[in-house]
Amino acid sequence: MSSAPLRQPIGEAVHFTAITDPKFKHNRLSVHLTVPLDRSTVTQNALIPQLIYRGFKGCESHTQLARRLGMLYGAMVDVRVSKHGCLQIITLSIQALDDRFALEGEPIVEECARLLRDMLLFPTLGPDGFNPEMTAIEKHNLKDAILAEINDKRSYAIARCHALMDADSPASLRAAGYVEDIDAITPKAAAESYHRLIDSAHIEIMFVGSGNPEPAKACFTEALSGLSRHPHSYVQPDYRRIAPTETQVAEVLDVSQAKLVMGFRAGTAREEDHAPIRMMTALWGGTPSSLLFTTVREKLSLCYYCAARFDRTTGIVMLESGVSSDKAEQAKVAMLDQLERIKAGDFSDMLLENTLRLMQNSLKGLEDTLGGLEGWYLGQILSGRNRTPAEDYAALAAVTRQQVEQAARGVTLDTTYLLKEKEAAAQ
Amino acid sequence: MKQQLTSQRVGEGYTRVDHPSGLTILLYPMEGFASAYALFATRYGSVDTSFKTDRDSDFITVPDGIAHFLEHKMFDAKDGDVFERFALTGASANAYTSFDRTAYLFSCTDNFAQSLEILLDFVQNPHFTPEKVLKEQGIIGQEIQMFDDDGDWRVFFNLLGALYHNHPVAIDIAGTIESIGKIDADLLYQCYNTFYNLNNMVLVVTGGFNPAEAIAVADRVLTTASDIAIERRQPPEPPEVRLPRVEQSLEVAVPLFQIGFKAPPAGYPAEVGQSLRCEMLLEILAGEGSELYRTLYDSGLINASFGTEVLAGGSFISLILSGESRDPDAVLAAVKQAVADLKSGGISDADFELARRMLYGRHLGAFGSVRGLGSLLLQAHFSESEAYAMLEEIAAIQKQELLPLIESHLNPEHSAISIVWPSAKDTQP
Repeated sequence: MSSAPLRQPIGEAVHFTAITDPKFKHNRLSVHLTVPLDRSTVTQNALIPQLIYRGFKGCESHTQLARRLGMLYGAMVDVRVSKHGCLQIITLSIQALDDRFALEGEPIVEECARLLRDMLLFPTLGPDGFNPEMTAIEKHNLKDAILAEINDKRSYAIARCHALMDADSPASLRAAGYVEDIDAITPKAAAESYHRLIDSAHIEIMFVGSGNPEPAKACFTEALSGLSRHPHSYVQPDYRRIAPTETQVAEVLDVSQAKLVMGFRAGTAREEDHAPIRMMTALWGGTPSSLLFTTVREKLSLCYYCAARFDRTTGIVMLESGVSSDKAEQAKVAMLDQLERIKAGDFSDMLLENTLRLMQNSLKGLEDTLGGLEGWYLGQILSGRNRTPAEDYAALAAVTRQQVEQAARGVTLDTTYLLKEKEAAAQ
Repeated sequence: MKQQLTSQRVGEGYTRVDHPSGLTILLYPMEGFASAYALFATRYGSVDTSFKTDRDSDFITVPDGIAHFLEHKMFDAKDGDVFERFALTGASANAYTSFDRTAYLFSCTDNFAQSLEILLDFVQNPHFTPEKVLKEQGIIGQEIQMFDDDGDWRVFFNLLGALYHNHPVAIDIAGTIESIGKIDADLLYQCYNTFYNLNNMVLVVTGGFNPAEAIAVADRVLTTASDIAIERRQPPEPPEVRLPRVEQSLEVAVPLFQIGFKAPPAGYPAEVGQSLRCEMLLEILAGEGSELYRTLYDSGLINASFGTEVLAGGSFISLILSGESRDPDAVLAAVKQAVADLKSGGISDADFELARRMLYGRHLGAFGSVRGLGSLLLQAHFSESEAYAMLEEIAAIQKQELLPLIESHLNPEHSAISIVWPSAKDTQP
């Protein structure tokens, strides 16, 4: 396995990280802008990548951009917003074949870097901000994207449960923003948000691939090193560790399969406790040989799926499942029973070993995809760590069964959220 | 028998083995990759509902969804749950059933040989009992219900139902709660014994592994199968669509639409080349660099979810445009107009070159991904083609080859639209 990559400063709160491996056939270059999640700016920030993507120096229209990307052998630009704890992340990425596959010897890396730089720094702006028609369309699209969350009932139910648990924390804000805030955004206000973002964000530029990162680094160093900016100061806030009582909420939607989500507090915020909690969560419901999968799904047939996941940035263990409403209570009891089993040490050493092996498999596998590598090291940077996947695995491998039992004893149920079918609600 | 295939363009090579057991084995080691990916697949999918072998006197027709049901049941082996065996090696295992194939797969970073042994062993050893079938009917019933709520899934199958009168491609891969209720252990064995013959199967391995180790496992674990001739029967399908329009309401935020052009199937291997050319045609007609895309996007009729695909399987081929829109009928009208313009105005050299480069880039890109390459090799094999040959074919496609396809494969008379509208918002508890 490779060693952790070097992250170099190339400007004020601007860093460049290169991870290269000749096995790849592509290169991927990303700019991540991070700002604190804030209800008053989250929606405007979410709109920015969509607006700058639609028109910038050299690519005044989306059609021009699409044709330029097409000629670069179908290079792909991807703009998105996401979150990490209490940070909102605005990302612009471009991925393309390496120069060695160009049919006519074009310098693909260099062209991609220029394109991404121009998108970031030179969007098309008039005296009154972004183009009004384009702003109207992108506002509309953002609205649709937010509303489309309910299309995916699984992630909708999880987001609802988190919002109920952490209503007062920025960590539960939706990275994509809020429908009710969209109408008020004018082309001028959007331009101001853009300038504020460029002025205040911490910027992480990442190159992953088989090519030479130098042209990309030179391009961004030249563009960003002289900029005078005012990067935000930011400390990841603490989160709740223990749930004093359980809150139960049920809602109804027109679905034919109910979703049962349970949010637990993990009991600790200490970094060194994360490995046991992750092992415990995986053993409980993170793998196909987990207790939830083999007992609640396979043996008791109480759900179509059930899984558990620990989020290090919020300290929440989330259990999610697809059930029918009349079996929800039974399923809940069975899922909690599995937690009791872990607390009591009622699981085999073999299950613990199997769980560790599966986690190792996915950690090693990360290094086989550009997105996997980028996501891993961005996560490390944002959490203030610099671990390789192999080092992370070593921490998991050191966890004892006693630590797993102890981690299970520290978990408290905060919120149970049930998304019910309409017919079930009528009965 | 071993055959070495190489590509100067990709700068790599791989091995094809015609194993004495009857199985075809494709081994593509990728230097530097930590994970290995193995696919053990049979040319048997949801459309194979009526068939006979050279040992049967007549065709039999089986319940819809049985290929998928069988796939689920394979994991419930005689000596316990297959996932538990994989758990011992750390491999992450799965399976899927599509229209024309069923694939069992794993990816792993360690213990490759043990994982491959489990894969080859469990797929060769079915164990179906009435009790297990009954239990599975409950689990798959839940799965079917879950997809009933999935707008993207519904809009797709509703379109296929509009395009096709009789072809089983229009039927949900999982079947219906009613059809899977007719499945029993004997039927499962009959399907298994027909399609899970090694002569009808392929093993594909890509990524970080040792080919000699893979062959050693195959030699040890595979049981030689006597060759089998399978005849598949599909009911006659007219060129016309069944319905020009189909609509449904579901809990979605924005209306979803899919527009499909039903085209004449060419059978494999001819359909491989046709389907590559159709991909280019769709790129030229409606790709992000097209006039149609710009007009639709700038007038707010489509958003970034808009896309195109060629759905091809030897006995069926359709060209599909899909997305979200508040006015799907306006999109349909614009698409039909753009097809008419393409027919009368032809294809510009610039548009053609753009589409060719995009297709080339996409195809070559698959060689850089362990999973992407595994899927590509499998797809190429089952469509009686080969991955490098497909890449060379793309590099050599000429513009004039696309022109007749505008007439035959984008015929507005043979098109249909499927829409999923948002249901009324009376959802408060």
